[in-house]
Amino acid sequence: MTSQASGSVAMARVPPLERLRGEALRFWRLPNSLFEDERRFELIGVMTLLVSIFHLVSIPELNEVVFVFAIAGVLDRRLLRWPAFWFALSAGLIVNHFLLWHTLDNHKYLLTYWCLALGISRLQADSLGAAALNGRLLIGLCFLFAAASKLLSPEYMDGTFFHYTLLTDRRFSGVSDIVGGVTTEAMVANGVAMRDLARPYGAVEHVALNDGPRIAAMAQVMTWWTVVIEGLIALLFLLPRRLRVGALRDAVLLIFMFTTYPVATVVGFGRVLTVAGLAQTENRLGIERALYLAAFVLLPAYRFPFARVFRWFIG
Amino acid sequence: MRGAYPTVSSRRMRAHQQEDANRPERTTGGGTSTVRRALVYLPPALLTVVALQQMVLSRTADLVPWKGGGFGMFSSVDSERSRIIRAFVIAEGREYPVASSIDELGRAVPKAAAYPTRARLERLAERMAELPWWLDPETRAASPDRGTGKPRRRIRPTAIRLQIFRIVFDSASRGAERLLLAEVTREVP
Repeated sequence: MTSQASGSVAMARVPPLERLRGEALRFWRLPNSLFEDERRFELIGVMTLLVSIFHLVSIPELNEVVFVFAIAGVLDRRLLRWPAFWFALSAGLIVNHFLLWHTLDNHKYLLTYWCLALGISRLQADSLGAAALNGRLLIGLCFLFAAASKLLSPEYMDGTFFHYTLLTDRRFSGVSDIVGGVTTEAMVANGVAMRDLARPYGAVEHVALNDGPRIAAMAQVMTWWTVVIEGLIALLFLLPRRLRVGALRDAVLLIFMFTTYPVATVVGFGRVLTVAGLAQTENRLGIERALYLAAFVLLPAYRFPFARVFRWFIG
Repeated sequence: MRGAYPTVSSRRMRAHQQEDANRPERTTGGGTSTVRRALVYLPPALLTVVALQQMVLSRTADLVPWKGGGFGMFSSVDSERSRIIRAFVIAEGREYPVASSIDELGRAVPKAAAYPTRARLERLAERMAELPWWLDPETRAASPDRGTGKPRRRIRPTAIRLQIFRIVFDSASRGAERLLLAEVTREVP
């Protein structure tokens, strides 16, 4: 019997569970090969460019320039190693901020800082280390200011913000319906009332919104959950690295993403966080990088109307 | 047969983890200049400066909390979408509401609503005063568009009045209403 034939016989004798385990591990190695040091910067660069392509809001001319630029970087990865490439992209995004500051969401700022950070990191001897440091600080500071804005806002801290949002923001309509008890009809009526109030010359000066039986309690829970988890992320990401809180840091950020975005789907913000998260993680448990990559890919799935389907299913 | 399959904690993965864990906090090599080392902190420094400025302006000058890079989203009912701008053309001793979205002024209108400083509102009013204004005899509304339907009458403004409102919500009564944030009346010379 040849060695090949004996190998086939041996494979045939492998218990199915063991074989399944082997296949799973082979599959597991696939994304992990992307995380090796030299390829990791490329992966982070490509993910950043994909965020720029899919989540950019800009004037049309700049949109086209950024699109072409980003596609060039995805196709020719050598560009990702040039600091000038990232500085040029950052410059385009900064111009966009000056033109459209009144419409740009905060994660567009985070993306701009992140592109600048990637350019600066290519100037350093340890590019991955510099990108990791920036990823950690940018996430930490972003959540620090987000938590501080909430703590300093009386209408946030007394639950008013989430009460209003749960009654009027369509992104929250699923959870308002299933958990809060606001019917779809009530939500639609609230939308009409707010539109009447917002008419510049309309006669409506005051409207009373339809409420749900559990909305006030829900608003309190969401108020405190959000400010606590955001504060915790800020603290963990801004603590010095020597304290070895890397695994906890990733766990809390991933919990934030997996609990917040199904309710408030802001895919662009989530994706910037996953890229910076991937760059900074120490991968202490060996799965964090894969989880960040999975989150990056799966975030748009949160746009699926789970709540509506659930409501339809339970009648 | 166990050895024929890879194990989770392969030597390679452990080596990477070790390498990452041992990576020093310091991000530069030996020959790198101090300036280059300091550059690493530029993005976090920019974030901090912009965010602090936004926080101050949103508390002192009615900059909308959701915009401007201060990470104040989801902290206030007052978003840019809930800001309301009212404009009036004052002519012939009467006040006519501006009925259209004034596309001629581009981004100046939403910017004034998002950050309604007196100077910004006055500049906007000046630009509005330079437009030709037409009065719809039926609705009594002024528009910079002459229109193609019913004949509109040209009016010459003596002043432009602008008002910016935000929405406030009272959780106890579930009531929402407008709150006047800023108002400017600019005489036309």
